[in-house]
Amino acid sequence: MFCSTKQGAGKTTAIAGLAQVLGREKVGYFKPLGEHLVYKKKTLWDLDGALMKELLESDFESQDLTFGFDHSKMRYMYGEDELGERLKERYEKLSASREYFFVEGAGTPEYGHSLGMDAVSQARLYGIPLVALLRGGNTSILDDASFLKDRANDEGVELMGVVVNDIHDHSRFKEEALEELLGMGIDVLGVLPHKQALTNISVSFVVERLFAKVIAGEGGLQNKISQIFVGAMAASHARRHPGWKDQNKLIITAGDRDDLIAAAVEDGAACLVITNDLVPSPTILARADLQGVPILQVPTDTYATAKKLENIDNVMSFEEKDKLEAAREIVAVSGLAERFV
Amino acid sequence: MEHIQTMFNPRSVAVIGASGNLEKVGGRFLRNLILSGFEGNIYPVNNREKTVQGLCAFPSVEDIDGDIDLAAVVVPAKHVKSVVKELVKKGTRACIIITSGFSEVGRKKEEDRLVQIARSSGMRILGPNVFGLWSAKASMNATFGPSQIRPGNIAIVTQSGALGIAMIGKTIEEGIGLSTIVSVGNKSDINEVDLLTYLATDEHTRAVLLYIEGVKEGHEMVKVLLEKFPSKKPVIVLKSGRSELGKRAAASHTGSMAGSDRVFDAAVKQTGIFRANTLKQAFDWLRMFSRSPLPTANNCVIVTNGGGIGVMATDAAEPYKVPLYNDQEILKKTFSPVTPSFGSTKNPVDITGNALGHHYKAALQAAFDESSMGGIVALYCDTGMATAKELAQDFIHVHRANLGKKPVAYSLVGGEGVSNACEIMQENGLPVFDDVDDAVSAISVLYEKSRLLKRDDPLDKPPNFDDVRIAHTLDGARLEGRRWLLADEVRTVFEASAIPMARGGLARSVNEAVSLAESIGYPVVMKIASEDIVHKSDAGGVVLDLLSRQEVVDAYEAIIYNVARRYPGAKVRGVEVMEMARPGLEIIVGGSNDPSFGQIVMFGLGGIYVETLKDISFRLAPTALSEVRRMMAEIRTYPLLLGVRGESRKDIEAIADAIWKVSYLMDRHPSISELDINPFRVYSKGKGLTALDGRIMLKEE
Repeated sequence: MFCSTKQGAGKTTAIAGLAQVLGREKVGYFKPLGEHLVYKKKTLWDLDGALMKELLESDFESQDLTFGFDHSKMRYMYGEDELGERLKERYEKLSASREYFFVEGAGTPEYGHSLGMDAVSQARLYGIPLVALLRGGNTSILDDASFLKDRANDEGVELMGVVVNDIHDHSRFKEEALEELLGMGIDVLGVLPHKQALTNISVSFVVERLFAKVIAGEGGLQNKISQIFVGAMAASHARRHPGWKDQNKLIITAGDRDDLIAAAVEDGAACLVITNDLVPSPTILARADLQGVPILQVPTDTYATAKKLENIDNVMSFEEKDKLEAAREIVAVSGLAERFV
Repeated sequence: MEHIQTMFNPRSVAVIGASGNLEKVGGRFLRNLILSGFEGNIYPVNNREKTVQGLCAFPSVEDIDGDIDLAAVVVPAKHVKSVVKELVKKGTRACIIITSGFSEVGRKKEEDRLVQIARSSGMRILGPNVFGLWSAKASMNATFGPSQIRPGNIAIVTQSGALGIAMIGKTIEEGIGLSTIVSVGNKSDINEVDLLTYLATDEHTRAVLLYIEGVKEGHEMVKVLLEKFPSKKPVIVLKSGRSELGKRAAASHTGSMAGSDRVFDAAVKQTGIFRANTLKQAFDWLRMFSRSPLPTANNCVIVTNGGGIGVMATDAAEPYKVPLYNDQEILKKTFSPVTPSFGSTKNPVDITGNALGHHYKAALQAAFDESSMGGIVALYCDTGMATAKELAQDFIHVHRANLGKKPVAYSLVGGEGVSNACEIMQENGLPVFDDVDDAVSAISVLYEKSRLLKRDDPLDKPPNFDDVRIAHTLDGARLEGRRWLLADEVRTVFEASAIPMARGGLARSVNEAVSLAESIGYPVVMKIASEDIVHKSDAGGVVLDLLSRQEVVDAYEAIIYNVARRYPGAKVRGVEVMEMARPGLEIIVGGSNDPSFGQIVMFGLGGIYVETLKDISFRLAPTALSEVRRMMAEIRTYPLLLGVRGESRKDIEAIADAIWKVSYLMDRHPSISELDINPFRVYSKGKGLTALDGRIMLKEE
């Protein structure tokens, strides 16, 4: 049972990496409480579930890999007593004939608690050990680890160990936190290094999340975004900005800033987000088509758009081969997979 | 009103600030008053001179030894207040404040104070910032403008003083006689509404020209026009501030805000007044109204001696809605005797360039004599066969011989000779116009007026609403501090006003959603109910065509989840579950509040039409059913409602009924500031319509 104390700790990344190293056909996946909901054609599924369905070439449908999203619905459908039974049934069905089976808990340790669907309660329900995914500064890693250990102990669940993710400076981690963790009696199953590719998001993902309209440059929808740049200045000024040189930038600007938009299309950018539903000149749109720089149109103003972008969670999709490869790589170098064998 | 009547026909006029210096406003004003032949008492007030322009001057208002019916104040702004106080003390009936420097330069408080003082005795104030007024009835020129004004039967009310003075000049040039001309300036007290009320019953006035920049009390103006104005007395309005740029200019001109021009247009249509686009057009129409009877039948015959201008007039007839005479047999019978064989007796009747003056006279006379012909456009191309004088005499002769029989609009095309002929005709009171198009435009207003007079709209029996329930619902939202009504409150209001809406209700839990869906029957539609979310479908808050309990449960979960993610701060009231309406044509019906004209109602085709084409029409609320039908026919996409290319005719009667109800809803509940029924789905004739979504917003408290 993979758990964490905060969103985006890297549970899905670690499981995707493990699945590739251990062998896709041997691995099974279940994410009882969905978080990245997709509702299309009257069907509900979770984006992580969809990724795993493809990655593991599972016979189950994406919607089977998640049990539900909204608490009230689950209460209505099953009632508290029946819910546990049904979860266990699903767990057993999905884990059958799989050598390794990973259950992904919710982003935070309390989520789902009122339904008995928080990570620790579920680990107890299925009788499986807990693995904590930790990410952040060394102090918070120590806090999170000791908290989860106590929580597991209280519930009589085994904490198998922790996986520390997104480590920029391995030696510093070793110096400041590793010994402490071991001293608390917590096993460190793996230390996953930082990988830029994993933090990038794709333009198409932004389009979906912002409900944006693509008005030009559709060819570049798979471009990667690593940086966000608010273009509220003249082109000449923007060009002097150090962030301008980054080809993977997303630029937010108003549609009447033709000079800046033209400069961005020429100099290279992952995409442009045009606010207030304005439309740049046809010449620029034609140029953007040619250069493959997507131009996205949104009705919100620049501030609201920037705020929305900031809050977008990073979700991996099966199409993002570079991310999957990066996940495999970090798991492989950390030796995490061996701990499950 | 009595005081305003006195203002136009006073027995005495005091001029405070009267001067002997004709370069001063006070000097010119007094000179005009003396020269105009005003027979009442004139009291010049001047504290330095004993006599002014030969009249005995009084040192102060107090010293005047008689009653003052009307006072004109021409003193500097800083002295106006004390003068007004004295006038009130003296029991003055009305007062014209010529002096400027009040609200138009931001001194609104000082201006309001003057009105306050005047109200204590019931004295009425015209102005400040006006050129005054001229009244034919009293033979009184109480203006500092031109001294020569031609008496007649046209009244001009103008917001702009300078334009007013210019218009006086123009009326003389155009041979238009005035019953009165008044400038309203800052409208601190007397405004257009008061003046229209007066003019409605003024027997010396046959038509009114109103120049306005912004309408402050549109609602009252409409009321006067609809209820007090005799239907035969035409009102022509010239309103500036049509364009965005024009609006700004108007706002900074007299300190009044120009209201929305589209709403103004709606008011024009509803009240049956005429809106001219240019000053020239306004004067052309005035000339026509002042000199012509209305058409005797709803058709027009064009008599010409040139094929080209005949066709030009025919072309103009369509956009100006002038119906052309079309009985070929009578045309042939009437005009054959006066048309050469190579001419044409069809309408336009072309008697050809070979025709001499007496031929033309005969043709015109034939048109006058044929009783089935309602009006005439008489066109003439200069063929050099007659002198200007002969030409003019011929026209004048026929015109006089048939005076008052039916309307004729003349237009003569040619060089200097023709210009001279036109001038002579003009002086003799013939409505002659510079251009063929102008002539057709001018006669068109007479046809329109006839049509308006013939309109026999059935009396509206107001709809029966559960007004108590509506008011209770609106108050409930107010009590909770909300300006937007919730979905179930909107439903209640629509129900209470018999506006058809798709069946449904608000579910606060998944259980409620399922039981609602089961009571409505599948398929159903689900929508998020939250006042914080405007674009419901963008928020993932709308799901259509749900066919089973499981689908309802999943949709409920998806909606709640999506909205919580995308609008974390939004106040979610629940999910609306509604019957899935059959496909149909979507229209939009709305209501809104105009700062000047008050509650209004709007109609248009929904979806892309309203957004991209802005193809909508307005009317002031409440709107009579017959007016609603005209409003509907006004949109460009109206033929879609009639059914195009095999599509069935839509239930136009049901749409009209809904618009009519919305107009009454807006009128009876003025706390509603905005109302939208969008989409409103309409079906074939007899099958009605269904509101799928509605929004109601209350005014700010």
